[in-house]
Amino acid sequence: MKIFKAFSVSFSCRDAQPLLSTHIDGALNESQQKQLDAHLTSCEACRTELRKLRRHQENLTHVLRQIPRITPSPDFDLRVLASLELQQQKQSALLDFCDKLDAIFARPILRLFASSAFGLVGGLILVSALIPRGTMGAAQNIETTSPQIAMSPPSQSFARMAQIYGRDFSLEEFEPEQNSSHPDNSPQPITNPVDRRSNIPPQKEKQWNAILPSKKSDLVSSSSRGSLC
Amino acid sequence: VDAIRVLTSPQWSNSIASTQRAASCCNDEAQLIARCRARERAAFEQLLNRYRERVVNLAYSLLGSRDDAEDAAQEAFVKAFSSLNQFRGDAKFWTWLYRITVNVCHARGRRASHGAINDCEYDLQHFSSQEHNQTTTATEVQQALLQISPTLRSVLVLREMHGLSYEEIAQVLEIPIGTVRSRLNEARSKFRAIWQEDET
Repeated sequence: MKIFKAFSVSFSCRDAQPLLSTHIDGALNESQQKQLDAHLTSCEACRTELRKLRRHQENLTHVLRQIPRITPSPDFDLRVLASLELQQQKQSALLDFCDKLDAIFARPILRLFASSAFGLVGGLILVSALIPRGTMGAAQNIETTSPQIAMSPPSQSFARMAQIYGRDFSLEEFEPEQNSSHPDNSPQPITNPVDRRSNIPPQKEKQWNAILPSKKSDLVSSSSRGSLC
Repeated sequence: VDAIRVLTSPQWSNSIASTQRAASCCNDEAQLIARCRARERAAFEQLLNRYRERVVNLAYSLLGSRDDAEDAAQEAFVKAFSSLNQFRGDAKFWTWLYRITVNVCHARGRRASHGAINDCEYDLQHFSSQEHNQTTTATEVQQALLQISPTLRSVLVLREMHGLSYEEIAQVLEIPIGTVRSRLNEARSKFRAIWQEDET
C-alpha cells in the first residue's frame, strides 16, 4: 500500500499528459488507467486539459471524415483478375523453365560439364582482373594512335620501302623543300611518315604529335635510342 | 454534438461496421483463402467483393488521388493473391491485406515524391453548390493530410477514418502498441497544427 501511495504521488502531470489522448480512445492498460484516474481526481489542470483535448479530438475526427468515400470503377475486379492471371502465367512459365533446367542438369555428366565451364569462366574473369591495367592500356594506346611504320626506326622503315619500290631511300629525300623536286616518274604515293598526318582525324592529331618526332634531329636521336616499342 | 455527428456519419460508420463484420466471418474466410490457393476464380471474386471498397478507400486516404488509389489497390490485391502461400493465418486476412496496401501506398508515395507532387483531385463539376462546398473542404483536408509524413499519416488514417483499434493498427503496421500511441499523438497534433494554420 505504501509503495502504491509513493508511486501515485510520483505520477505527475508530465506523466499524465501523454496518456490523455490514449485515455480518450479507451486504449490504456489497466494499471495506466488506474494511475491516470487517481491523478485526474486530484488535478484540476489535467482535467481541463482532458476536456480541451477531447473537444480537439472530436473535431479532428469530424474534419478527417469530410473526405468522401469513393466507389471503385466498375471494371476494377476485371483489371485485378486480368493482372493476377498474367502474373500467374509468368510465374508458371518461370517454374517450367526451372524444372527444365533441373531435368537437364540432373544428368551427372552435364552437371560436371556445367560446373567446369562455370569454373573456367570465373577463372578467366579473375585472371583478367589481376593483370595490371596500366601496362595493357599504354600498349593499346600506342597501337591505336600511331601506324607501325612510324613506331619503327627510320632505317627499318626505309628498308621496307626499298623492298616495296625497288630503290633506296634516304632521310634527306623527306625534307620539306626537297619534296617538290621529286621527278614526275618517281612512284607518287611515297608515303612520308610525316605526310600520313593528313589522314588523321583532328582529335587524334594531338596524340599523334606527342608520339611522332617533329624534327629530323629528333627523328635521328629517337632512332639512336631504338624502337618506341 | 460533433461526436454524435461523427458516429452517425453514414459512410464512415458503414466502413467501421464492415471492418467488424469482416473480423467476425473468419471461419468461412479460411475456406475462401484455401480455395484461392487452389486458384479458384470465384473465390478471388468473393474476396475482392468483400474488401474492394475498403482497400481502395484506404489507398485513397493515403494517396489523395482516385487513379493512384485504384492502381495501388489493384497492385495490393495482385500481390496478396499471388503470395497467399506466405499468409500463415496467424493474423486476420484483412490486417495482412491492409499491411500490403499500406506498403504499396508508401512505395508509390516515395516514387511520386521523386517526380511530380501528388495532389488530391476531386471532380467538382458533378456536385451541387452545397456538395461543392463540402468537396472543397474535403480537398483542403486531404491536402493537410498529405503534408504529414507517410508513417504518421497511415496511423491517423487507420484510426480516425477506418476505426481500427490500437492492437489492429499495431498488427497492420507491424509496430508495438507503444509506438502506435506515440505516433498517433504526434500525428494528431501535427494535423491539428497544419489544419489551424490553413484556417487562419
